[in-house]
Amino acid sequence: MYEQLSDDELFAEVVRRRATDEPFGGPLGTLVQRWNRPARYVISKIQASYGRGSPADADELFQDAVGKFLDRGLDQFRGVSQQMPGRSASPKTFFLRIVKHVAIDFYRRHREELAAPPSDPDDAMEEPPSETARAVELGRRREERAEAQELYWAAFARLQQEHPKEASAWELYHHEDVEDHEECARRLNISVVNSYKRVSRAQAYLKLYLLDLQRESPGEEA
Amino acid sequence: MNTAAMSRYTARRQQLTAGSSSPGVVLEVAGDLLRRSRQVGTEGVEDALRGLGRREVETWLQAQKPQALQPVLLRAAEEAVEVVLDGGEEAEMWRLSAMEGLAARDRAASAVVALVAWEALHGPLDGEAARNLERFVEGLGKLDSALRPRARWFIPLNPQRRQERDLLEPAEQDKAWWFSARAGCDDLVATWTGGAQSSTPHLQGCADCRADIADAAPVDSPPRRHLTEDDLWRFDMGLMSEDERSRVDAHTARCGECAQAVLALGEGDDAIEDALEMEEGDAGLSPAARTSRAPVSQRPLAARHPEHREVLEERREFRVVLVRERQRVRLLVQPLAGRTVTAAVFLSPGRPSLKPSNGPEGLSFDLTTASSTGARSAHLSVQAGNETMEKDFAF
Repeated sequence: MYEQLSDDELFAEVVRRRATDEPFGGPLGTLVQRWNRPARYVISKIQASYGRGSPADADELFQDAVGKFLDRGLDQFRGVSQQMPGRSASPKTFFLRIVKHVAIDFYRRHREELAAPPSDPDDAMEEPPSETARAVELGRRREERAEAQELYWAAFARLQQEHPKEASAWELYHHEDVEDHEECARRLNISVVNSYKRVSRAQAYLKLYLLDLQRESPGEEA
Repeated sequence: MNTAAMSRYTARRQQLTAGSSSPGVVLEVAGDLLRRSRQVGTEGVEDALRGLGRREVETWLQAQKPQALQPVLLRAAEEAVEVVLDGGEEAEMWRLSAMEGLAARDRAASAVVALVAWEALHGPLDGEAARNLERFVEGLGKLDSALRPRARWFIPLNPQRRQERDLLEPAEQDKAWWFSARAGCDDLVATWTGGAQSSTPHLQGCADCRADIADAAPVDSPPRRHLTEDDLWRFDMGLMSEDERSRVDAHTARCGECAQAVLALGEGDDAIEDALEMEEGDAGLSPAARTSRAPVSQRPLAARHPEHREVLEERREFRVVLVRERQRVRLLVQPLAGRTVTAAVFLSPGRPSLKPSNGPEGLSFDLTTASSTGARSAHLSVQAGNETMEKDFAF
């Protein structure tokens, strides 16, 4: 019954039904089914960009994108299309843009996991012992790095809480790659001398907080 | 000789004989002198303790809350650090206030020593009073377990802490961590704001300082804030402010992972355009496909620069990126992990390399002229540390 409707008409129907709490699965299903093929094409290109991926991923990503389109996309599309008509001229283009982001986010998230050695013990047994030991060592280092990062961000959270001005300067200078005190001063509306001072104070407090956290963390001596 | 500190304790002795001193003050002063007996003597201590009644001691013990010292010591720690970070006229004020915090902990230790001496004179406390004494000592122990590992915070007070430590009886010195722990680690302070480059004989020889420097190293090279999912979306949709876009540019120039994500955004846009064109080109165009296809002029424009980037090679030390802009082609060799990279691009054998320009993104070779004269490939040579790469590439 929806076949004769255009995308825009179907989309309007979904939005209308959703607003009045009517079931909208029918028109939405037809709509995303029409967009399935271009969506999979976009996914395949993102997979190629990351050099990984499988058809099974594509199914999952398409479903995620539909979910996201439903959760946030419908309202977002209305906002974006009203504020910036050129950005996403049609619901379909907007949906494909969501597909693109869902795929990129997925492969960014799984970058480390996919690069990790096989977890299947049978596969692992086929590796030469030296390779296995190397993989174990790499895994251990990755875990240590992750833990160190976690403690660093916990220390930074404490800095934000206890010395917010210093934390803002540190955030800008280091985390946001500004690395220029004149620019920091401009953005924070402070003097250059103050920028130096805040970053320096942040460094000292961060080290002290980090060391406190490390000594408090399990496995460390009190 | 630490005359100022000594005269302070000598003056405290007068409180023992004043008669009007509270039981707590008598216990603290008596303990202060007992713990420093060789330096300041114990004159008047025994009489003062003999004059302290059992009821008075029991009432005093009942009111003790050693955990109340925790915020006092934590504030003293912050004040101690301010002595070096502030460094101005207020440094002395911070120093005095921080030392007062340490003195509060020290007075509690003195009270415990005095109570032991009091029991030797009057017989042991019993019942509720004995349990209160046990709780008091146990509470101080817990406080020390929690705060002793943070003794580094008090290093800026080391000259004063050493004076206090040296007045104590040898057996008391190690117990009084608030005066003695890390009391020789003055050199560590310079590494808090200056990195670990300022190595001194102490820093090289002190296991605690070496561990601190190693464990605090992540702060010397802090992790960058990667682009989040929301950042990428807002970047793509053109919702970022100019400062935010500058941040993205600065970050992606150094972070391969996020640069790849931004690159994928562009490739995704190309894919969306291709997908829409393919649908449009299909013989059996559905009404939906027709109506959803936006006019070319209204196609979504990514917020990023109008350029296309292709990563030709990514090694641990460097990345090679071919950048195509509307009327320009250039090859970027981006150093990674802070490495110095040298590179050369040869359009044909025997001819000199193209001259690179050094920019925020790395070495840039402009291939526009070569491209306009019909050249389509070149040879790239890169050296970074021990790693070298020779590669032919098309552009």
